[in-house]
Amino acid sequence: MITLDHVDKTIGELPVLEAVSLRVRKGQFVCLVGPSGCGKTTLLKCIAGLRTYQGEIRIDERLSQGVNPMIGYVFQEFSLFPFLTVGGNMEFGLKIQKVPRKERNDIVRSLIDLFLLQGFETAYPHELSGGMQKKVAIARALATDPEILLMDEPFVSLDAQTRNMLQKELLRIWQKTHKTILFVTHNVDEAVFLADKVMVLTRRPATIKSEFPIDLERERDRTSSEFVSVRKEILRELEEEYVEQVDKGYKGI
Amino acid sequence: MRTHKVFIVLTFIAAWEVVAVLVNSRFLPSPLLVGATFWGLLSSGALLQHAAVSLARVMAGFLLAIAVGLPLGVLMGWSPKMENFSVIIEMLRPIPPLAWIPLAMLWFGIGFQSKAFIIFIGALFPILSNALLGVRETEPYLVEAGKVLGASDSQILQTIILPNSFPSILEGLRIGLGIAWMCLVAAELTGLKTPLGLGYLIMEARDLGRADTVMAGMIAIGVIGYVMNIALKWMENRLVRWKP
Amino acid sequence: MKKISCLLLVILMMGCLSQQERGIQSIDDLNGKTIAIPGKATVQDFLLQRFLKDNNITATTVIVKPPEMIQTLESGGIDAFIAWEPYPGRAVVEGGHSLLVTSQDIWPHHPCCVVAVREEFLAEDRDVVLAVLACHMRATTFILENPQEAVRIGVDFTGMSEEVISQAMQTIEYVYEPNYSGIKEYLDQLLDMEYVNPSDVGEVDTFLSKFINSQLIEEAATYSCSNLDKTIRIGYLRADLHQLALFVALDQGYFDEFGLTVELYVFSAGPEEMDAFGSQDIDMGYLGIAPATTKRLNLGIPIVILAGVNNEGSALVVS
Repeated sequence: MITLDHVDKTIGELPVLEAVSLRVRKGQFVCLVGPSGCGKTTLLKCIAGLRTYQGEIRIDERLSQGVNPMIGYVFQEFSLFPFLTVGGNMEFGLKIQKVPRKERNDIVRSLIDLFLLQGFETAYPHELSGGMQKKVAIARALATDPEILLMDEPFVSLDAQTRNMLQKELLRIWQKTHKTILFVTHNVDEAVFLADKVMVLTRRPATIKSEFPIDLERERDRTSSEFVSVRKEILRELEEEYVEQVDKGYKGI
Repeated sequence: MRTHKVFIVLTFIAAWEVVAVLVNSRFLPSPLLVGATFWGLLSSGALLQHAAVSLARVMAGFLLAIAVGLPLGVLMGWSPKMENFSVIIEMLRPIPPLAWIPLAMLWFGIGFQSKAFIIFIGALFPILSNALLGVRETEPYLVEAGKVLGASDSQILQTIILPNSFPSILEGLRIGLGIAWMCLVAAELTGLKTPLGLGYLIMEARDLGRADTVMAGMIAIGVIGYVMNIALKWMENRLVRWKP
Repeated sequence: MKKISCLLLVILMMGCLSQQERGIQSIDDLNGKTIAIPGKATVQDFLLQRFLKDNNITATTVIVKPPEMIQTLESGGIDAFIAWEPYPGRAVVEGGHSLLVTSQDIWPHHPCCVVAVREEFLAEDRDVVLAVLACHMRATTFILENPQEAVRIGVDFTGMSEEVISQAMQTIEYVYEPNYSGIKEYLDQLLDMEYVNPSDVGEVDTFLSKFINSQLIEEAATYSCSNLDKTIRIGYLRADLHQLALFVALDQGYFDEFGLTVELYVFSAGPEEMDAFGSQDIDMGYLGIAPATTKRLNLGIPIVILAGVNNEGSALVVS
């Protein structure tokens, strides 16, 4: 479980996060949507212990300080270690934890199976497609069996088809592993398709604007009227932020 | 492809022969004469002796440059505090290695050490700055990826930054070796304790006015430099198979 | 990495050990030692080879530029050096080193530096050449007649102390006649040393009669002209006291009297100066007879010897 209580963050003079409070229950899949550049990534990195902040972040009721082994992280960038094979990337965290070789091999093998990456154990990242690289990155984050998975727009640089495919894969794996997932995106369609709950962030400095529980049955039909109406509602919320941004003369989206 | 290259080399030699015949001067010996001189030096063993001495000087200076340049470059790329020292490096770097010759002779005499020192200076900066660049230009998300997977700072350096900088480091070694080889020859053109070395061979031939021997020495230097470069490239391809 | 640094340390230490000094008291002590010369095929190289052969000594010769020789001797990089004056004089006066032998001991009255001209230039500007030779003769006479004044000019020229220059000048014989038989002896030994090819020389006297022109110096003795209005490019060797006549002529304004403007070009050793003759960057030059002969033959650089400059004036210095 993730609990944030009035988390503030400023970078230099610039306030990025302002009194962010949220809660993700164990096993829940929560999506954070917000305008680009609002501080979503910063929020995720604060939770992961990669950034300092004011306020309280608790993981399973315990105050979290620094990097937490209970948290796995998937980056927006293609962040695989280019000099390691698929297997090498997957077992990186295990090696750090000094897990014996045999056990490591077992875990890697099961991850390969889970992510349907058979035959690519010894391939280097540059030999893989973008979608496969993303799968390996998720597998790497899961290898040490963290309870929580933080995902920062992991599918942002992929084509629509691959993206849809990976969304389904992710749901399949989530349902198998029962991880708690906090997933950042600016794509409302993606959020509604994936999440149990969608949280909308304001423009910078970001704070939680509103929450939308998504009670649609899985696997969700993107064309169903319920899906479309929730999507519309969230989009409207989000557009308000963009409109205000334009009013205030901000540049870019 | 290979026959193509051979053809180019042969054309070059033929053109040289033609020019040499046309000019008909001792200032430009023909490839045939140079080849004969080269063969004579090779079969007498003199050329190998000169080359071996030169190589020993290069390797000593080059290894010393690695021993100093690599750790220093990595440290300066890794630690923001150390990076401030790069001011000194940036000021020393533009000084041609050969400008150190008078000082090298003052400090180390005309023996092995002064040659090794010149080579050290020549090879140091490319090795150092490539290591520094490789480390500094490691993408921050790779470092963060290591962090969230629980790696300590020293583990991040060893298991992420160093392997990731390896191609850049190897490139630095290759450039460094090339410069070392060039510096050596120039360093051997001035005082020497042991009258051996390819640079010395050239200088001696110059004093005697033997352009064919000068050219034979130049060819030997070119061939060895070429082979060293190929060897390092081959090594790079073997060791860095993960590069696209 | 550790192994590599150990290896380097050992290499450096070996280098240090091999540099330890061992004194040289007699000629025989030179056996197996390292002796510096200013360049291959220089007069000093030639003299040293002759000396080593005469005394049945084997030694390693290395090349060091004369200005760096004393320093290299003192740092232990070499055991001895042979150089033109005033370097031996300076080593004695300022460094407390000693002259093991002078070139007089090796070969009495041996010719050393000469005045050479590019063949082409001689054909084109014979008047200028005659004027330069006239200045050279006058200056040489001046040195012989006014040794004290010559020392002053020598001090200016070399930048060394009066004491060094007076000491050095004692071992130099200033001359202007080209020494045919002496040059022939050089050629014979150069052939012997295989520095030059017999096929390039052909018949020795035929070659020498073309290579040495003794007529011009005689003509120059009576040459007079005040208004040449020409520029002449002359090469010389850095701080070579043998070539003092050139600087006396400049100092005394002899060239001006002929309406000659002199452009000076300085070289570290004779072989370098010969390259400048080859590239036509100088018209005339003061340089050693050995490099002049060697490169005249091996590279076919067309020069002619017109005058002597000095006999003797080199020495083998040990610490």
